[in-house]
Amino acid sequence: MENILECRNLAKKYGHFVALSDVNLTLQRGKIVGLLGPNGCGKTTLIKLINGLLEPSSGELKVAGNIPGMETKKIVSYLPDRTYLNNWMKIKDFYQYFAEFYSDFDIAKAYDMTSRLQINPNNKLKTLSKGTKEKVQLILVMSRKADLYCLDEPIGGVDPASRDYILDTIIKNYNENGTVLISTHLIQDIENILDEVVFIQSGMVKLHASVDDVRIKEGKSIDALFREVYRC
Amino acid sequence: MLGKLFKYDMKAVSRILLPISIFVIVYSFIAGFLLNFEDYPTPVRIVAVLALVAYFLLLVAYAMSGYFVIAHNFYKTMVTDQGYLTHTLPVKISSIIFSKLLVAFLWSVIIVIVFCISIPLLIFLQVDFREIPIREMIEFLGSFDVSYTYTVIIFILLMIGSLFVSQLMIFAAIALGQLLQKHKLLFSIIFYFGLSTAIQTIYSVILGILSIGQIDVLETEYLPDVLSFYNIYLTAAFFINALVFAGLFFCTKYIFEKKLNLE
Repeated sequence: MENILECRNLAKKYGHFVALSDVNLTLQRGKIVGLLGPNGCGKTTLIKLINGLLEPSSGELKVAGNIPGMETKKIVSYLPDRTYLNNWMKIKDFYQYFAEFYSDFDIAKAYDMTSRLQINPNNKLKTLSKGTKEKVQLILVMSRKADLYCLDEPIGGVDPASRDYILDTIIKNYNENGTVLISTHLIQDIENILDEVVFIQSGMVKLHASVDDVRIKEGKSIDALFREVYRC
Repeated sequence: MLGKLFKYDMKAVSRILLPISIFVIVYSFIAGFLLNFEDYPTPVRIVAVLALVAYFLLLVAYAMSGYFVIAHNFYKTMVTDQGYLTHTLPVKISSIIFSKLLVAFLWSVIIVIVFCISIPLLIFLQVDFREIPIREMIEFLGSFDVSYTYTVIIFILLMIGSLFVSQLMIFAAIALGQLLQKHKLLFSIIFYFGLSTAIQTIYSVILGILSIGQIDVLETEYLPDVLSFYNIYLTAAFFINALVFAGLFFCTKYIFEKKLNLE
């Protein structure tokens, strides 16, 4: 089975600013990977490149053997760190929308998650709080049977109880051949569900290892290692 | 996919344009009564005149509303946060652009129909429609030994083409504005005026060249010759229009495929 993500000498520049330089990264299928690093280090740039929202300046990026485009968008499920839905549609309208555009969208699962999170699908998005909007976006993304999930700060604006439910959902929705890439600062909360970590600093990959290896070799938690590596 | 995109784009735009359209029709009916304002006492007359002025301003705004509502929809869904949803759908950029152009076309037709309903409603108390000499006008035109078929067809095609180009110019301006790092919206507006001027110039130059030496034809007022001239003129305009459309379309498509940079 091929790798889900392959980056070779990947670089992205905005004018003179180098957002990513010489990124060589391979992610296998069936893993939950934490993409960690301080603000402005290039995490979101990498995720945007994976989703075809940016073109690389040089190097190569492939998702399941294809460069980002229509074919990869069918198998990548993306949760950005902002509200990307319009305000006037109802939640159930969005489920219908996703069901129509994505053949891997499981509408029954979406409704199930909606009721567990005690959200009314007849509400319009504009009536919801920021936290509830984020939950709805997460439901949309996790209800797809994607090969790669890219979650950019999925638990940032959400209360602790819902956070546990969301992390639980992420593990449970984990289809065996699917990979989840989570970009976050809240390392302590997600550390226990991660299989691998990728540390990025100043646009370069500093570390890519399995969580077990880090704990055994370094003898510390990911959170502690992060604080050490990124000490101000 | 184009059908699905069209469905959702129509929903987004119609939720604004449909209520306005209904309001215009209702207001036209009311304005029909207001036109007899001389019959009313003075205070009512003032209100009636103001309401009529407002009505005409409404018509002007309504005529342009289609372009603006669709431009607003394009802007929000392509270059703001909603762009994260639009640009990660498994669809081609050309389908996305085309869907919005089709919505623009359909709503332009609806707006024309609303005008065709509104104007008669406005004047129904003033005019006896049976007195309009439609049959005489048709007989007059038919008395010349010429065929109007080609002229009518090319004119309609040119109108449709112009509609698409007008809307696409706004899309292209938004796309071009997106290339800048700051003040994207301001630059989009500047690009719009730039594109508009450039396209007008192209038309003026080419059609102007075509018209050279044809002035005598127009002066003879001999209908078959005048009509031939207009057929050539309209055909040339149609082809220029088609080329402008292609240029703007590929420019917009290229920018969103290769140069996208959402905040």
